[in-house]
Amino acid sequence: MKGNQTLKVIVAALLGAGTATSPALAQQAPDFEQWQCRFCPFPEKGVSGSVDASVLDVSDDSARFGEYTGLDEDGVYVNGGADMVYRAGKGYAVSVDARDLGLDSRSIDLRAGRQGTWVVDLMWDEIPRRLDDTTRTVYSGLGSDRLILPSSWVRGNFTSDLTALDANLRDFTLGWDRQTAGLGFEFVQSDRLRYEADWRRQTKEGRGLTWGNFIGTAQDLVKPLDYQTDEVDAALVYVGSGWNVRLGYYGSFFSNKDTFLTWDNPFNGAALGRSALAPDNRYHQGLLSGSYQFATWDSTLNASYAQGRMEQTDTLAAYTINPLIPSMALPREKFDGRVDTTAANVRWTATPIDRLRISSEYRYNERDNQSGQYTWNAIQSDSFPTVPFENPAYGFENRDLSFMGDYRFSNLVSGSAGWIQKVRKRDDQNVNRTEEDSYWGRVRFRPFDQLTFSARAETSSRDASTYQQIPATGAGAQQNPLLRKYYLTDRDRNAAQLQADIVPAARGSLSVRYERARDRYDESEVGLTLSDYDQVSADANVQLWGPVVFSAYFSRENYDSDMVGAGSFAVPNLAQPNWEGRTRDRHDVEGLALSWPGLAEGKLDLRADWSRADTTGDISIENPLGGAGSPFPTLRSKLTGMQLMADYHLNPRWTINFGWRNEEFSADDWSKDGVGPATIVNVLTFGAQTQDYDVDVFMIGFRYNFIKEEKEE
Amino acid sequence: MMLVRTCVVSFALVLLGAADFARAQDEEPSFSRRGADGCIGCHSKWDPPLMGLFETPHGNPHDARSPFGERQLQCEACHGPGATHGGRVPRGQPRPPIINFGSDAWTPVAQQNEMCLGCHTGHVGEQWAGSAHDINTVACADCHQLHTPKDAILEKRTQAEACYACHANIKADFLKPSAHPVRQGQLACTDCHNPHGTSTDKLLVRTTLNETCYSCHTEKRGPLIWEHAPVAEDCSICHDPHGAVHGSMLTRRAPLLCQSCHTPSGHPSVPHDSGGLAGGTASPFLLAGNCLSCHTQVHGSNHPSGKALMR
Repeated sequence: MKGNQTLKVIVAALLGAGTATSPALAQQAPDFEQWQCRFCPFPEKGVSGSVDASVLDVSDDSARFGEYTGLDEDGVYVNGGADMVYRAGKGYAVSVDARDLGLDSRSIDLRAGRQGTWVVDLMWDEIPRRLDDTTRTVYSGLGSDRLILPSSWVRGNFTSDLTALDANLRDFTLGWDRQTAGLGFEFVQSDRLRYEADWRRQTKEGRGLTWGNFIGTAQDLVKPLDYQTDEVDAALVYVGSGWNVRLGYYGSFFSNKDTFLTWDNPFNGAALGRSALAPDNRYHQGLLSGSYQFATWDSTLNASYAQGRMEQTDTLAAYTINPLIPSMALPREKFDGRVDTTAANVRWTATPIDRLRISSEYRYNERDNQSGQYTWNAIQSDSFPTVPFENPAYGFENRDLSFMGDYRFSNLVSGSAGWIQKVRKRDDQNVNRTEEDSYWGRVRFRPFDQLTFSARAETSSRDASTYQQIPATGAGAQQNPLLRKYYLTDRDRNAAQLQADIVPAARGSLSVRYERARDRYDESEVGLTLSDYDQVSADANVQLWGPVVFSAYFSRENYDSDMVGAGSFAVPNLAQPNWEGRTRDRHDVEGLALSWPGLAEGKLDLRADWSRADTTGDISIENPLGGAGSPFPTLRSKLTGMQLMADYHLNPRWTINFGWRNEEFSADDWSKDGVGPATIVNVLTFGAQTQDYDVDVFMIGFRYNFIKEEKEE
Repeated sequence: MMLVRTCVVSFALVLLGAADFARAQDEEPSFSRRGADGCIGCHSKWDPPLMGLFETPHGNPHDARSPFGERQLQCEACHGPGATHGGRVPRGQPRPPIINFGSDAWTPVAQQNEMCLGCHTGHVGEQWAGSAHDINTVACADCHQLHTPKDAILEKRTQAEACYACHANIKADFLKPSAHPVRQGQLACTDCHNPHGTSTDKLLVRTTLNETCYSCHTEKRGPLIWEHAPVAEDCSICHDPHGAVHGSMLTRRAPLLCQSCHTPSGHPSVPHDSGGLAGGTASPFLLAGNCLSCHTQVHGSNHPSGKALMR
């Protein structure tokens, strides 16, 4: 016996394999004859769960309120749902989880199988997008790939010349429905081997916002949305003793029934314009990942490798459909777009001593653009030819390396520190290589069980290789040489977080958090020079008495950014910095909630919520060319929501639900307010306005619980 | 021979750090005599209620892998051997504890999670070790409720509230004027993030940030003839994925956002000030679609004449 014990230790240590089974299994097995589980309330055969139905009355039309909810029109909605399981015995079961069946935001999830052996999952989900109902247009054919002006249309050079505009404007709505059907399957072959497969078909149908332009004029347009995406995830998972491996495949297949959008030009100039719509694309990715546990330092090695290929070979439009411009032959009728992707990581985590945890990770990610590059004789906006230009093939390679350690000094204090290096290499861009080194540290202090402080600080510096000018076709396209694009250039980032969690008693908690991050682009004479973010938030919960819980939430965020411009009409633009743009955004949120279950001798549950989100944005242009600047009017939005819900339990089977919800939204946005279809002299717009609303929703409904007779008693 | 064996064992222990194994051998707590029946005797009326467990996968007796499967360890599969906890306790003595769960539990988080991962490594634990939640000592039970019939974090409509318990700062994002529909219950945090660890930064479900976005926004994948370089690289260069003050979840408003990177002579480089509002000159660079009115294909164009992203 002693020999076996020794052998066990040696084998375990030398193999370095942690146990894959529960640590409890390391003990002497119990006498299962005595473990009858006679009092275990295992669910019986039959139906359990609940069904619900309700009637909702919505007070007003509002696309914005109906966005994602499906309650965009006033009137009565009949709604329903179910959360049910039918257990057939021997572990076989069928379940259904259905929500909002009467609304455009409905979802259904059907699941059948035998847990631990196989499961089939069938789902349906809808997400309504209701973008705008303040829009007006003169075009017909909305939702198709051909937008047509009325026969009475009078063209002109400016919107003021469009004399038939007012007579032909009509209201329409922008938006679409996203519908997803899915089928999933899981088969457990053994304790160690499992197969998973999941297919989803997502469609997106409706009207999207786009724009069309000719040189000097533009117009708001509706683009047809008739998208279909099929996604497949399949995996084989093998779990060994102290190790596991997953071999997977991911496929994505996108198709768009419309390839181009063609529209009549409402202004003088070319009669027709044609834009390309999103082309079909496909993506395949193979994935291998796994982990291995070593007993040495209780360490784990995780690794993954994924290789993918995205392709796009959709039919191309002609350079122009303007018959007055002789169009040249395309270098290809279909683009041979191909990108190979690689993603990999290796991570090692260990606990060399009880108090110390260390971790290191290397990540690699590559976008290898193998798309064809050709010289294109482009026609600018169906209006005039440009000089030939070769399409770039953007690719990049990312390498991240990190080390971190976490040390517990005592039960009161622990600290962590780490280093992260991020290297980015890019093709065909102004900067070939950036390297960012970040150092961070964190301290946690828990002087007693009811109070925890934590503080985290990080500093990072990103260094860019030589900023080079990409040759532009024509002097007018040349960038100002002083420009440094913010995602490519040198940057110093400093960030700090402070948090206090207070649990004065078992019946309440308070969490206060402050965060600040500041990015400086000191090497950028032109471009973004500063980005500053801070947030303070507080979250409190208190159990007032019995089951009555009150909670409150507050958050204030500030986003500041400064940029410097170098404006010039000279060609090329070699101007020195001569203007600044400043943005000051603020977002405040307050929320209160009360939950009061068990009123009226346990028959009545009450819930109340209130929240408000205030947003402001101040933009100013300092030292504009040719005169003193004035600040823009403040951008404002306010969203206030209130909800009262009551559930009255008539008996264990029947519950009546009452509810009232009010949501009010108002906004001031100078990019929309007062901008009619013809306000801009050379852009024919939809005249979309901010979508203020104040909507009440009243609800009455019931829920029926499927319970056994004896439980009811 | 005995001496040699002892030396070998000692060497292996020191060199390979198998001290935990040895410690486990010393303690050897035993299982209870009656299993779950003994536990239920005291805990059936517990507050919060515990019996909901039997409506969950953990309480399924027909799954051989379940704690309540045949010849499994029932409550003690997770809570550890409970003989001393469930046995007689001398008057005045505290009842010996068993393994319990959550950040406030006496059981160290690492030990709690080890109990869970003992069975769930193949489901969720592949990338757990060293992941953000592991490094930050998040206990499985901080997020999951195992004794309720429905685990709130597994429900799309209630999941976010559970995440906000630690990520309260994110809660405000979904109340911004332009945000993903988490507040409306149409999107769950786990649609984009895998809290159990992934190979990516921010625990994203796909292998890169853009791949994660393409799952719903597939039409933007391309590759296209005329790509907009930052779009192909990283959506978050222009967008805040949780929510933003400005439309389309943009980090800043056009034209300033665009002018941060585009300075050719003429309209891209010159300032567009408040004189261009509707009451003034009504500048197309500020109002309605602003830059996008002409550069419509800001995510890239597949039109042969789309070099300036205008077709």
